[in-house]
Amino acid sequence: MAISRTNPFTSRAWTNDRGSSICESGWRIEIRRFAVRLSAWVVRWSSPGCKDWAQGLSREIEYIEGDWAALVWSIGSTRILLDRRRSLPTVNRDAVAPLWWIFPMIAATQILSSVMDAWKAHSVHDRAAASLIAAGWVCWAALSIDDWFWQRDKPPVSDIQAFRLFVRATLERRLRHYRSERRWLSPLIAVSICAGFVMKFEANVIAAVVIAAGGALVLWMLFLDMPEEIRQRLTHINRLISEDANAVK
Amino acid sequence: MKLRRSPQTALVMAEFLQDKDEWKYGYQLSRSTGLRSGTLYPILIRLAALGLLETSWEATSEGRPPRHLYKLTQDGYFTHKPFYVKGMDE
Repeated sequence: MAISRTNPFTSRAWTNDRGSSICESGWRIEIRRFAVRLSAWVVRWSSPGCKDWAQGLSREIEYIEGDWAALVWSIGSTRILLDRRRSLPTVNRDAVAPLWWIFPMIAATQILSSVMDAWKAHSVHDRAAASLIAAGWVCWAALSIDDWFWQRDKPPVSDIQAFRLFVRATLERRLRHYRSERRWLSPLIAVSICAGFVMKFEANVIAAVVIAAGGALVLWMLFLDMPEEIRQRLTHINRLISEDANAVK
Repeated sequence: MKLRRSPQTALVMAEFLQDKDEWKYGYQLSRSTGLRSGTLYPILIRLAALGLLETSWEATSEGRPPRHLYKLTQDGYFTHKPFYVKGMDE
């Protein structure tokens, strides 16, 4: 059966030697191709902890008979992009977040611009706003540098047992942080930065409301979401370590 | 974190509980439960995070990329079977 590829954007349709529309075949090929490309895009942009799942989703497309069904499947797979998980040791690959340099760059530019604003400010109000923003970003940078020093001791993923023990130690350290007085540091940083921006944009009510709402969301995530996520991951890693210990016996 | 017993989760669990030793494909589960990929896979991810589901990659011999396989763990099968399977003898 000879079928020549047609431009799907033309309305002309030839028939092949079996009498079916070549244009229709061209459309189906494009639909399937788009579905495959969309799935590949989802794999590329999924979080490290969901990479295997995204791969699993994309591999299924080859076994889906209908082209439209394949497209619906690939559109559904984009849901996985909303699930941001770090890599767990069972995946056995390095959890390197893409574009990791973005946040340090944003922090550095914010610190520089806030310090300059505070230096050039003509009123106490403007100086206070800029100082709050600068102080918040400086504290956040200090916390990040502290975390970076801790992560330098991370063993390679190839040494799975040591890697899991390191992950457990890291999670316990983070949970201790939430149980200590240091747990107020992150919310204070968020409040400081948000308050600074609200003071800076006080003439613009909408901007002030949006910033305040964003700050409240960050606080909610820090206090309610993260400790629970850490406990879940600790439970999982303890189970993996005990399974390893039983396997050795 | 407890397992959310939504109707969709019940469908997925019932499908797995029919045969605890059988590995299942994602598309196979989608067809048998009627759930789309965007609904099914978050449930599977949640089950795996709770340690109720184990995953594996199928090695294919025809030169095709391997497919992802799913099966309930022992914990998943024995702990949740009474909640999702009615009238089944132990």
